Amino acid sequence: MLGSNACYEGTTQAEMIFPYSLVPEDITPFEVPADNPLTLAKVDLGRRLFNEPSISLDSTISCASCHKKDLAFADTLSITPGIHGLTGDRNPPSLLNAAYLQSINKDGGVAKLDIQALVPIEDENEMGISIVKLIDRLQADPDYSRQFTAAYGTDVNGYNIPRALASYVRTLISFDSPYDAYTNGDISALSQSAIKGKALFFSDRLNCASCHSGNLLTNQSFQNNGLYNNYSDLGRALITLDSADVGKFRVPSLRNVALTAPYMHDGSLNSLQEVLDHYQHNLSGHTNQSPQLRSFELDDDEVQDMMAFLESLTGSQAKRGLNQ
Amino acid sequence: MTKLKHALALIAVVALSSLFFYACGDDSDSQSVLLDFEFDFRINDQKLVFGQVYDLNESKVSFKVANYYIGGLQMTQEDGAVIDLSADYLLAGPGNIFSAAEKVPNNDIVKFDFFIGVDEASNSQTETDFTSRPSTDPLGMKDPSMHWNWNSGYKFLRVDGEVDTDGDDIPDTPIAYHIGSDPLLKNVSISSDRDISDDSTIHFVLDINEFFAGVNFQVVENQDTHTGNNLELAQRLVSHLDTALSVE
Repeated sequence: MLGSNACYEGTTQAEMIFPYSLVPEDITPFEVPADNPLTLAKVDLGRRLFNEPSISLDSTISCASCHKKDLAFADTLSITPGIHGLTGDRNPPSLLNAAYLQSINKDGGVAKLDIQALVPIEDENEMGISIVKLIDRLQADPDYSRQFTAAYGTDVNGYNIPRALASYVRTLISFDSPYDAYTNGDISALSQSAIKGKALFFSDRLNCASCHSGNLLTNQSFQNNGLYNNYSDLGRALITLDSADVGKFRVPSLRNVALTAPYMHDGSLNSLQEVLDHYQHNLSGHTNQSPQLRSFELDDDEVQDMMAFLESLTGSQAKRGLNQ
Repeated sequence: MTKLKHALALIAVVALSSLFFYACGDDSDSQSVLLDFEFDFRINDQKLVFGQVYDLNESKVSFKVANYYIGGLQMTQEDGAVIDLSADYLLAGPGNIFSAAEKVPNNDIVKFDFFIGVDEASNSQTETDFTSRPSTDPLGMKDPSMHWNWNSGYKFLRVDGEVDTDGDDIPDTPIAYHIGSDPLLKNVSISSDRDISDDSTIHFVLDINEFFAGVNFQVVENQDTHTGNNLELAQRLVSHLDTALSVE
């Protein structure tokens, strides 16, 4: 269902949200599953659930605990604690433009956004509650029961909980950065330094764009970026069971990257400066390290130019905390 | 009077016919049975009881979850007929019962063919996923879960418990064996001479001792596998299913 005008049963045209109404004209709209068309009722319900601590075992952790709207729906902590202060292995990613992901999670283990929310809900280090128990909990709340029925035509169940959350996440769109304005012809949108940084970014010398390409500035491939020699988190290999995938994680989108420190799958690098240092001097040479990575040296001016370019990828709404 | 004789004769014929057909139907029923399936877990030649402390591989252990999926089930009878239940999944767990929908001839079953796991299409979650299945569906959402959340797919087999690691004989270190992913689907074929005429309840038996044969629970690397993070252990345990599984 891509940009379809079709009405869905029980849903009026006015209640529908079409992908192309959320993204600029020059950006291809994201796809919406036919069995979960976007509606205002679902998005409202998903927003409420997103900020609802009661969807964790001890009612202390919501999605928003780790995905803060003023941080491009990411967090400043390397690993955000879940219930009982427990911590997992990975840095919470930005949720902006998650509607475009071909597979979900940093290792691509989840096939579709519509069931992704079960990851944090059931993970013992995050919200730690069985979806079966969560259904009972939400069904006991008449207000939620009513809202689910209004959105999905059925009471709370395991099908519509993650799909309501996915519906909200699909509306978290960010294509309004100075870089976008520049790309669309506003040559004043970028500073001279950012323009130089852009040229560096897309140069063969740095080769960043071999992976950070397209509108999302990611080709969504899984790459080992030479962070470690020994990976405690095996990454993509956890899913494929292939040792050639050890240490591979999906190339992240660089949109709003200036808001999403710390960096890397485990949040081990604290700043964009550290990231640039890593790619210049600290590649581990792991056997699976991406062949796209090239050794390069930047002088101080070039580092500043790269920083200016990366900061130009911050969306204006994201900068304001995406008023959702 | 003649009419009365004819009427009596007709009644007699109808009555005898009824008896004949009833007898035939009764005879047919006695030659077919409805199969039920139950799932037993044995440890140290006893029925596994959750929470009870057992000596296993020189460790004190207790268990709290034991489940696995049986799929693709086909049973060959002595006359070569095949009872095909491959459209169904059986979630094996203590106390779980699966009843076949239709009666089958009560000939002996000489072979059980099935797999432990979930077929690749269902396991991918790309179309119908576990959230869209009713709770009564073995592949629907369960608590404790048989679906992975971080990895689209099912735990084909799940055994959770605790082991004593500090010598106080109290098992309190978690152990968890969650095995799944397409390459680890395990095909099983078991020869049998199972007479189903008197007892039509088939028991699938998982012997915990055989399943954990040679596993030293004191070694940290042996205390859990979620398949991808400890593939060697997951593969080793799957290989034990040949000897750990039986049908009674």
